Amino acid sequence: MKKASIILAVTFLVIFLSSCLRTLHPIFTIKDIVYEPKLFGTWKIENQGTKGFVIITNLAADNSIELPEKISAIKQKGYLVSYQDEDGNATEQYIAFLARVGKHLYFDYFPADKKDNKTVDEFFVSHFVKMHTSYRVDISKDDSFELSQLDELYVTKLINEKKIRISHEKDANGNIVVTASTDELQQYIIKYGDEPGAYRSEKTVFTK
Amino acid sequence: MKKLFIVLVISFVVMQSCVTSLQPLATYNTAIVDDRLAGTWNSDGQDYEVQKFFDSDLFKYIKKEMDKTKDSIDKVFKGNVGKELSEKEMEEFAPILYFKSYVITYTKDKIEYVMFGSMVKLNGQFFINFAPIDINTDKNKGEAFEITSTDQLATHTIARVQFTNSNTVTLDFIDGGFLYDQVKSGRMKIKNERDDLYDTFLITASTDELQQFIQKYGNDDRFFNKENSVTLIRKS
Repeated sequence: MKKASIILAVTFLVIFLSSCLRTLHPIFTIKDIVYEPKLFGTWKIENQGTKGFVIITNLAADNSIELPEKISAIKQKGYLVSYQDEDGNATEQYIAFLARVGKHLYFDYFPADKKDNKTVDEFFVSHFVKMHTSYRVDISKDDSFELSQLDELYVTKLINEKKIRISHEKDANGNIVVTASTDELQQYIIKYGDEPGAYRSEKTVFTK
Repeated sequence: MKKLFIVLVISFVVMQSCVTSLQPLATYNTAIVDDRLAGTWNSDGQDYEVQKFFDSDLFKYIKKEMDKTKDSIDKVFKGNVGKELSEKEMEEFAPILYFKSYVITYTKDKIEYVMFGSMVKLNGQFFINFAPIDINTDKNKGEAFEITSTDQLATHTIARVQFTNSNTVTLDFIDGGFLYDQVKSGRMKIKNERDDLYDTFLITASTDELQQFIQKYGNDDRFFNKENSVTLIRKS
């Protein structure tokens, strides 16, 4: 039951441990953006036995998404990534940009809101700040590609062991919130981008 | 769980311009529980139920769940409930702040929202910070927005509380646009993170810094735009 899980998390009896790295800032600047039309289309995905579909379109082709002004100005270079479950029900949508950071390509995901989606009370929603999540993108010769998500636990461990200096805060519950600037994030990715432990073990494979 | 209705109907304008803070304005040791705030309130036709934590349905629900696992509030928090805590203890038992907070519940378009409200008194004025706790979507609304902790960070908003009389309370939310402009221009200084590409603005000051900031500007009316005010009228 959803209510139970949330409430118990508050009391710290149950803590939802999300290990995807969330950052307040994006991992890219406009000059880092790479435009790759090969990524457009409907993709089948599989991750740890969970199957579904992902539709990737050009961000400029969809006027239903609310975009910050500066993102709107570069929307031709962006993607709208729409996840669907096996039955075709929409689950999540993200504003995404592909960027080259160091040797690899990365997707920066940011939650997308529809302009006309006023289902949820605005006051309640205003208490949530959207965060970026990032994935290394490995495109194969057969036109499939693979996403590997940056792992939060890896960064947290480095911070706790004082092996890394990266801007962060602790929230009221003691959870680390990475507030590093784009420049700092890129330095982290360049340093640890080839380190398998810096990514979550499960990868998502996209096939046509 | 019995559905309760709180009155905190806040206008779209308010919602658009709220300031969000990573840290709460209150701590367990500074939070104030004032009986005047408890009750059922209405604003612009929207009902809000405000309950002290230990009187709340939320607490009853948590207790019931904890009883199932043979735990108890006191066992989990090692007997710290009700006593003055050291800074270290407060860090370890941050959720205890909620024991001196209000649970605010309201239902809008068949969706129930649950929030915490923690009140402090600074320079003789009351302030409250709100934090989101739960959202119960109607089962029939499949398209309802899902807030996932994987890509959203829960934060706090802050409002000045003015008790006009026992039946009327005004909440003046900090004008986010004003604060943003002041901080951006360097006229006000408070620790923050700002991302201009995605229009993200988050106050990251500590609770202590936040309290000092509010003490400094709490009497500055520019801080509280009239459009950011909500008047609650008591129903019961």
